[in-house]
Amino acid sequence: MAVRRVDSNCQVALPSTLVERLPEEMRDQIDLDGVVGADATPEARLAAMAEDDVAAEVLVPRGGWQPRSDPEVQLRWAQVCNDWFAEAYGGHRDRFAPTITVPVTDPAAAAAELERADELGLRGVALPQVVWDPPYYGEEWDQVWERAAALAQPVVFVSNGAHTAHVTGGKIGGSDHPAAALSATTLEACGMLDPLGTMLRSLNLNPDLVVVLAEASAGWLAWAIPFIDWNYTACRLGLLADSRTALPELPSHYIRRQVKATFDHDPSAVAGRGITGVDVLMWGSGPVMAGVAPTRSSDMLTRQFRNVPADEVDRIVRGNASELFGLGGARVTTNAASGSPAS
Amino acid sequence: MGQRTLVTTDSHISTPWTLADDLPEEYRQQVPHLEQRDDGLYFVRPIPPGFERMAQMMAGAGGAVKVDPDQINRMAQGNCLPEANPGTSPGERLVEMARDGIAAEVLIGAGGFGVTGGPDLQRVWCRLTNDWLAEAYADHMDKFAPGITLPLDDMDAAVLELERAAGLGLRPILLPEAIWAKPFYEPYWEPLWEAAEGLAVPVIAHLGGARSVSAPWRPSDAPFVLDRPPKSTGAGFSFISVGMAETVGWFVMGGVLERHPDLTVVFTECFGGWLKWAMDHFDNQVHSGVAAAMGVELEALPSDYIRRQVKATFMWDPTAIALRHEIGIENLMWGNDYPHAEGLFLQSQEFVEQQFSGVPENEIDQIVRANACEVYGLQV
Repeated sequence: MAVRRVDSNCQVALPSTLVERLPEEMRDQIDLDGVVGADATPEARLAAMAEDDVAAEVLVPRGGWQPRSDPEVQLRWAQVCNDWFAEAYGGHRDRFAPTITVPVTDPAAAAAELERADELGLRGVALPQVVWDPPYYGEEWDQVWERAAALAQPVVFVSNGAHTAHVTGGKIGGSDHPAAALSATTLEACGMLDPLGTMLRSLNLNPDLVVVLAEASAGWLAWAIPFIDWNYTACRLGLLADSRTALPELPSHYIRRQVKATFDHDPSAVAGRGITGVDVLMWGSGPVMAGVAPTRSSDMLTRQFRNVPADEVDRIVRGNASELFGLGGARVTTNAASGSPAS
Repeated sequence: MGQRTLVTTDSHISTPWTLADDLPEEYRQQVPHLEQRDDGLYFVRPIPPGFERMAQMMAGAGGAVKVDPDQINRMAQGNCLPEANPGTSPGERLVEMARDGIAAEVLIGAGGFGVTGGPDLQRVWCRLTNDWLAEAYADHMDKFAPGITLPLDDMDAAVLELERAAGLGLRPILLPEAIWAKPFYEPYWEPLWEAAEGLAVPVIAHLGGARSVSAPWRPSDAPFVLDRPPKSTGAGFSFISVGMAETVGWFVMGGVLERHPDLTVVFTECFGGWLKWAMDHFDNQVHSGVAAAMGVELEALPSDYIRRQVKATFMWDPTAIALRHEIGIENLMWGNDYPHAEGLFLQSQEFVEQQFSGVPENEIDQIVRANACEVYGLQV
């Protein structure tokens, strides 16, 4: 029996023709080489959703961040991306949550564009997991977190290879040895601990802020939550540090309250839901690997939920994302709700 | 209840300060050594290029420190709890072990986190270090497993030194958690795996913070993950620990464990609760067809190789204990990371009792003692 789901991490490649919307002198600063993702047009998305029995999608654009471009080019490109998403998906807001692209080297501009795109109806602001100019732990980014919290816009962190490119000297996927890429996928996932740690302070300061760790393959989180608490309270390494971060509650409090992690196939995440909390987990397909990735209708997706109560499956595969991204159309009567999610 | 018999699989030891005096002067300058300066005696600790974070985390900051006679042992160790007095001799170690209720130790020298100098120096220094350990601990091999330092930039020499050091009773082989220029799936390492397998000497890859450094395009002054604000939330320590899953993947998805079925690899101080996630993650790459599409065809599932040949050590990990049957009780070992600041010195018995509450006695004993005795040939 099929299950209708909300894909909380559908990564799409922005159409290359969007570059033509930029002033001519800016176009050569946009680098879309090697950008891989599903077809971003509504027609393609709706067809894929019908085939895969997916009720709604959170669309995470690939190619939106252009950190090597001039700040004004980044801003203009973000506006182009957001305008196109709003135009293309304006009539499908019940079934799509296109996320917001912002400049990643100018937090003030990012905050302003976040507000503009919010008015266009886009939902969720997509950011790379690590940036340096300035870094997320800098106070410059506080305005973005504050604005996102005020607008009820989730902050969606997406891997940008910040922890996966050592073997290849900085080039993502640059090794021709398959073990390099297959092994590095673990860092794509647990590398989300980097922004998670950085954001704990901001989660405390902004109780309405929600952070999504996209493509996090969340099984590691069930291990990390008690471990982080232990570090914070008992491990002498942390207690001896010279600038200990003061949090009124344990780190796990903020994670369970304000963090979501998406996963595609991760039995450990499902098994660890008693530690993370069911509300932390959201199913999402993640990056496209042409020709090799299982489809969203793969039996693997349902097998991982075997013996899990139907209401919990529904939260993970539909309800959590539906609520977070306001996907009203996704509130369908699902097979999960009927009690046979894993059959 | 009374004290348990604990074997720590993760105990750090420095070389005697004067060991370098046996080297020619041009070599002496490149290894930890004493140096008389105008204002006193200094301990100088060169850091191997590329291992800066590991050296800092494992052995304290590099550079030169003025010798304080009252702090010699702590200074030699670098990263050291103020309560500890980590000597280099068996007698000194046994005193410290008694303070913490420890019956046996796996001794991990700083040389395992990268050896400085060129191949010629590495050969000489590794031989000197291994000879010193073999001589000092010859009568105590039942309670100590002194690790082998190898000249990793010359594989022929590394294999010869391994054979020689193993013949002296040393074990295990000490490796860093990652060498980015030569990942462990590379053919370069095959002679070492073959020799280790043949000699039944386990290999350990010790957590050292290699993944605390972000991608090569980071700014040159970017702080390590562990050191970034906000500090001390524990997320950075968590990341560099579970990040060891990548190294597990090198051994598993790189086919090393399949080609060498008698090779045992111990992932040390990286904790173990995430190992079930790693098993699922790599198994999923097989089930989904991703591994095959990328040219990796294994005869068994990745989790089968992990259960057969991989061990993980932890000091405090309730998730590992809760998942011990899924991971494999024989795959988990305990260690206190003596004498590091993040370690459990003087808290070992207490933390073992806390985290193993409710676990059957025989299973506790297997994880905190018996597995280590079997892997490292200890007798306590």
